[in-house]
Amino acid sequence: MAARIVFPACIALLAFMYGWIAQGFPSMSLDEGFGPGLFPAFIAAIVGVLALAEVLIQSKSASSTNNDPAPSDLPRVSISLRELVATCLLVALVVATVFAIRHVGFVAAASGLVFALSLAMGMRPIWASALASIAIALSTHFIFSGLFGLVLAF
Amino acid sequence: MDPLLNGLIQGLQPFTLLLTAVGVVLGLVIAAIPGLTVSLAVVLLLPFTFYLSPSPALGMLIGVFVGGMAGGAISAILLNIPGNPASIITTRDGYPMAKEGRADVALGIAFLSSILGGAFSLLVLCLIAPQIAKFALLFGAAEQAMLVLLGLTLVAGFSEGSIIRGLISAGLGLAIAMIGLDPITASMRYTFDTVELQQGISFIPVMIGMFALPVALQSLVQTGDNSLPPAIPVANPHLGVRKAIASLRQLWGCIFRSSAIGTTIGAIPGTGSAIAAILSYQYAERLSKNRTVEFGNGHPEGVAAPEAANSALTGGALIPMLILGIPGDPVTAVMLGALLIQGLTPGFTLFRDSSEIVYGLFASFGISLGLLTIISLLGIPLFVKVIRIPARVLMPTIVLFCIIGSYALQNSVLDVWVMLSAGVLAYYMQRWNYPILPLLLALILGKIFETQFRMSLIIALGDPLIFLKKPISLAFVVLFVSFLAWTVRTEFLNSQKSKTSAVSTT
Repeated sequence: MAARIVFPACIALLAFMYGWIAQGFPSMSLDEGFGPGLFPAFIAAIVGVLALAEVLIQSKSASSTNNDPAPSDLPRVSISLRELVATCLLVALVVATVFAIRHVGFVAAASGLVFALSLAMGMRPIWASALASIAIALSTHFIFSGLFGLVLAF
Repeated sequence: MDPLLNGLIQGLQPFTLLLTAVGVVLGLVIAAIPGLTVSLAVVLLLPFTFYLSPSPALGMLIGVFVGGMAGGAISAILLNIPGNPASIITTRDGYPMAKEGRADVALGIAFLSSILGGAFSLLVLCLIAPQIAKFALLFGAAEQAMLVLLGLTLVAGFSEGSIIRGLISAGLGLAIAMIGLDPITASMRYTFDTVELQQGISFIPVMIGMFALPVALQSLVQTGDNSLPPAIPVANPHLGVRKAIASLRQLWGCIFRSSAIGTTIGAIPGTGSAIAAILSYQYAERLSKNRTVEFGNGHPEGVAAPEAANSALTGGALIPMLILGIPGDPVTAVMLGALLIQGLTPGFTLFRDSSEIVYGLFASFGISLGLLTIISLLGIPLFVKVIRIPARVLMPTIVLFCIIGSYALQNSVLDVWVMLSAGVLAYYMQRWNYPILPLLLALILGKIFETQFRMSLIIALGDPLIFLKKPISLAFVVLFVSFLAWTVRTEFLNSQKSKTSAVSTT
């Protein structure tokens, strides 16, 4: 239940901050000449109202279906620990790869990423994953750097 | 020279032809693998288009689109697992046909219907698009602003989830589009005094992240035994195609009707191939004269209708994208991105000034259908093997391509972080039933919308009634209000109905 209320609530908060920052832009009103603050203020107001409406709808739906944790249109809303771990792992691997490219070069860093993801996705045997990772990194390097001339030094 | 002939020459250039063929094969293969979609295929190929001239780039993408729409049927028929959302309905009759030992006939009908549906929509595209493009010439700033507003609302309303969630998603896209230099006064907005954000957030890394990364994240979450059921063997693919051609006389009406439905649905932004497939199936079920087999138990029209409709969607979806700059579905959104990267702006000027590119795209579309005929005939034994590849085997490579693809646009690491953030956001948005297409569309069209909206007000000296004073703009406003009212009313009635049924069951 919490997730489907927390997400729109966060959006409403972000919309408020977005609109608040827009106050600092020149020319907010129509009379002042439709300046750069006009549109962001409109968007913040509309998104804020919609997000609050969604919070209300979801709270009402949650209270009316107290015994049923999942309304029909939301099959499974709570985030599992597995999803959180997978998200953190993916983010960490991408960030590590981008920084590693600067220090160890593209092929080594990309091989590491592909190998780590293969293992995390349960691909076995390990030696085959390692060989495939190196082959994928080398061929990607050949395509983008060799054929297209992209400098793969992030 | 006649623009159509010029376009055909462009499409038949050896390099364009080669890339179109590569696109068709990749589309077929990727869409055939359960868990991988046509959107994913086009978005992964998008970075390659940065290095190509417009005709080969668009040829490759349209090849993927055409191949992908047909490829989804393979796993639907042989594994009972749809390769893409449009093929969900194909499983109803395709799989029972395969179980009865008629897998070859089912595949033959699916491919034949796809090819004919695509050809129908190409014909409509060639006949209608240039005429509507002339009409689009009448659009000024107010009309364009209201058209974008209508397009965004249609996409938000037709997407999965409620209209409120669709509109929140579109609002998020517009909010991100505001980052960077203001298009009229060039003042900074939401840049937080950083140089990198002055150019704004490019929609390409957002697109790559949102379409590709959630698929990889899903595979990471669902590790363990993901083994697929055994595929039903295809006895004689060539005989199947011949039998399908022989049954064309009975299927002709169904294919024609479904193609018309697919093309029309495709031209309405945000509706999607699943709606076209379901609608055409329902019509086929209602109007079929062949009652020897029940629908759902292996009726040939149950395969022909959804497959013709989802392929016909291709041409329909290109109409609003090429003429109005409003993509009808995720694939045309990526194609719009490819056009914009090439420095081409959709609209009448595209038809007038770059007709060889537009007609080159039409030619590549036709060539893709021809190639699909050959490839589907020769490649069925290969595709039967391909569908057994677990999607997760490809995921590490997809993540690597996401990093390179987002970086390659402007050699910027910031784009990699944008891609990563967009991917994670898209995964959780989808989990909580928030559609991502409205966000992407709003991000692509946000700057145009704002510029035209504010320009209209400046021209009208601040009179907001300008949007109601011009007839075309007024028509868009009326459509916008009517659609919004209709959607809200439908959702309200549906929620009342579900409440009533919940009370009656307790």
